[in-house]
Amino acid sequence: MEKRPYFVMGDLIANLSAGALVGAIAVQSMGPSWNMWISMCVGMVAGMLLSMLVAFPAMALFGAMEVMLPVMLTGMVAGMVVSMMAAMDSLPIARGVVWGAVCGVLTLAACYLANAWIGKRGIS
Amino acid sequence: MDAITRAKWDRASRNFDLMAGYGPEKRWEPFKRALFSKMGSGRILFLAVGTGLDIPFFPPGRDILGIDISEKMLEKARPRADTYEGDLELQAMDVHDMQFDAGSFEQVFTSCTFCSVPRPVEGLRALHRVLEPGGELHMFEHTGSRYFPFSLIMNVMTLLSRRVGPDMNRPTVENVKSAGFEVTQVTPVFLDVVKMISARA
Repeated sequence: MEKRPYFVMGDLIANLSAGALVGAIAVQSMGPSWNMWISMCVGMVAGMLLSMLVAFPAMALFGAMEVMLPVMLTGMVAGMVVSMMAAMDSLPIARGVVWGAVCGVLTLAACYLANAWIGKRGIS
Repeated sequence: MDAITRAKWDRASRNFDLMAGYGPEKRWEPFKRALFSKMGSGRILFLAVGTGLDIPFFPPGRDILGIDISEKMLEKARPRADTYEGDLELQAMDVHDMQFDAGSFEQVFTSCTFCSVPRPVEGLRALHRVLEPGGELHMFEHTGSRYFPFSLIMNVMTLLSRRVGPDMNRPTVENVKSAGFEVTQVTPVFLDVVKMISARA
């Protein structure tokens, strides 16, 4: 598991930024007129693609796959969750940003746990 | 020589250090140093030396031949090679066209290489041929993942990345076995995606 503060902070900043960006755009793009299931699917795919805007510059600073995979997963999760919320109720953009950022932190934590589990289990 | 692959990596050489030179190298430095510390006293082939970002991690005093398909990459690697305290020669060469005698090398090292070799199993068979019997292959590679959703992301990224550089979803450990190597150790670096692979010819 990564313990060097520069990279831990870098991972956190990248995932917070990607989640917030995707959350903001999801709120702006979706609304109660959307079918919830369709908005979730569109949000997931669009979130993954949008997160690349954060992933590429962050990769140059903080690492390659270690940045790309969590950030793109954050994009998928934040896109899905915030789009679903936006389809259920009218949301202010600030709430989209906050929920996107929360998705980013939780996704990064899940990736760290998955990395620790695979590291302990080993691969063949 | 594969002209299409060479042209792709000649183009990539312009911005390669910008994307790979700081974050990825700093993050992977301890793992790469550990892997390259296995370099022995015999003749070593380093495949796809690129712009030479890994050269500072080589232990001093070794006898290394570094090859790469792209002469433009090697142009950037030469100043780094000049600072190496040991024998380090660089040559432009395609792994598929290596003309070395069988058993010419005691060890082969690769670093983020087999995401980019166009015919990976054939390339690995070529390495098997130039290694002496029982010779060692040590690789630092990123591969596909067996775990969802990482596998999905790697597959999506490969659609984009292969146009300008590497494939992200290769089954490199399986390819090493298919090429006739005995895999002796696989050490995860990040998830099951970035890993160090050691094998014997």
